Amino acid sequence: MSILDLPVVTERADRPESVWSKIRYHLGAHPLGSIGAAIMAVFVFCAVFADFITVYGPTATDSTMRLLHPGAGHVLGTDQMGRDIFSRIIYGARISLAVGLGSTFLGSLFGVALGLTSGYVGGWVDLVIQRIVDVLQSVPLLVLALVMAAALGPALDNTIVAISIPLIPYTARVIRSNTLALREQAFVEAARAIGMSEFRIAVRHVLPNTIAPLIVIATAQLGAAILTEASLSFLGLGVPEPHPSWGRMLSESAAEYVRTAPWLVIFPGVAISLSVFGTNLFGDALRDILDPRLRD
Amino acid sequence: MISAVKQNTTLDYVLRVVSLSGLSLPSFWLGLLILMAFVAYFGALPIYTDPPKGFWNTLWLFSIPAAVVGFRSSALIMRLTRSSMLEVLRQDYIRTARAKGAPARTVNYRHALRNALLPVVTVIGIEAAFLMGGLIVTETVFNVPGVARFLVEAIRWRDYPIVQNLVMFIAVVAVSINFLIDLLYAVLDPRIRYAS
Repeated sequence: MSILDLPVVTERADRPESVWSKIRYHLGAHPLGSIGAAIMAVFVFCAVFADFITVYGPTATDSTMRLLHPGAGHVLGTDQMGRDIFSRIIYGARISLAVGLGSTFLGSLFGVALGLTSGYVGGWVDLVIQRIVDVLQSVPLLVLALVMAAALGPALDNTIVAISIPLIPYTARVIRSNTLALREQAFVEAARAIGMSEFRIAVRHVLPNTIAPLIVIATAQLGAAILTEASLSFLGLGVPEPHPSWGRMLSESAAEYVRTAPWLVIFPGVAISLSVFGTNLFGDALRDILDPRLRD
Repeated sequence: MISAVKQNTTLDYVLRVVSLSGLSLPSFWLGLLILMAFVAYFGALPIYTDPPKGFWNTLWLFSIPAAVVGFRSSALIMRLTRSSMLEVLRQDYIRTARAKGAPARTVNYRHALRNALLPVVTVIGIEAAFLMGGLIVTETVFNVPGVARFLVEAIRWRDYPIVQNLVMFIAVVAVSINFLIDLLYAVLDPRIRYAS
């Protein structure tokens, strides 16, 4: 009997794991991360389906319904102009998400471009880019965002740009150090040996390998971006008035109505904290999964 | 640190959630909540109206904003100490120390914590510099006339020379603190020497 006659045993372990089983495994292994993912899912759901969840418009005023206590009709009460707090918070999710995702995306885009160029090209280009990054990084995040927002003027898209700029140096740093390590790998040398252009190597071979750290840093920045948006709007330099922004809601109500209508202060704050908390939890779990160095 | 030694226990999870929530709460909201609590329970609050008289009065006035800002920083430092400790606890010399029969307390404090503190010190330095940013909103909430509040006011007035100077000042403070931290490394870790 030759070895070929033996029955072929296919083991379960040989089969590639399905995506769902992987997800199930990680949900069990990272309970905190799954809570974070759930919070984020609710948050995104509210932002996307705001029109269907709410009864009142976020900017609809009603002078007969001013400063109502939370209760039937208006679940979370109304503000000094008779606007429904619940509607404003749900629509505020849209603004926070737009600013958070928008600025994180822009920040990552420029950060990756700078980091990849800096790390791959090296030489004086690296030196110049790193010094620019140093300059950007020596000013605290919120201070830089504040100054940018003030210079650009209050508008939704300006806020996104203002928050994205302080995020660039962090992404650029991480991508650069990754690129430096990847540049020396054998597959880069192989690609060069078959005559690939340097640009193609950088974009097709080095860039995809920096995706994992990029995702980790981008989720971490998403929370920071949402928090910065709330702070900017709180100071009156973020998203302007007709948009229902959580930070703005706090600053409007804080001064005059803290004593008479505390729900104006409590609920937007809860919304900010929960969304940032969810993003942070999710980002932490993602880092544990994607960064093998820190895997426990 | 406790969180690291007892990794993946309930205590670890509780501490991690507390520290993460500390990072997630916007400092202005926390400040407002504390102000509300003070008004509700004591009917009054130590708020900055006139320049404080004397040292103790100053300390009393600044204690609450300081606590609000400090909560965030301590949460950050807690997270860092945890991850740094986790890394150190896996090192060979920790196993050696355990193997020679050193008590757990000695291993945790003398061998692990001392080595884990180096990256933590870096972040304390960065955080001290970056607190300037966190202070902007806190100073606004508590009406403290500090540098950060002055910056916001200057932006509101569109007084750009003042804005430029204040940003420059904040950057200089940040860079000098980082420099001091670099010098501190040499003191903390005898292996680090700066070439002259």
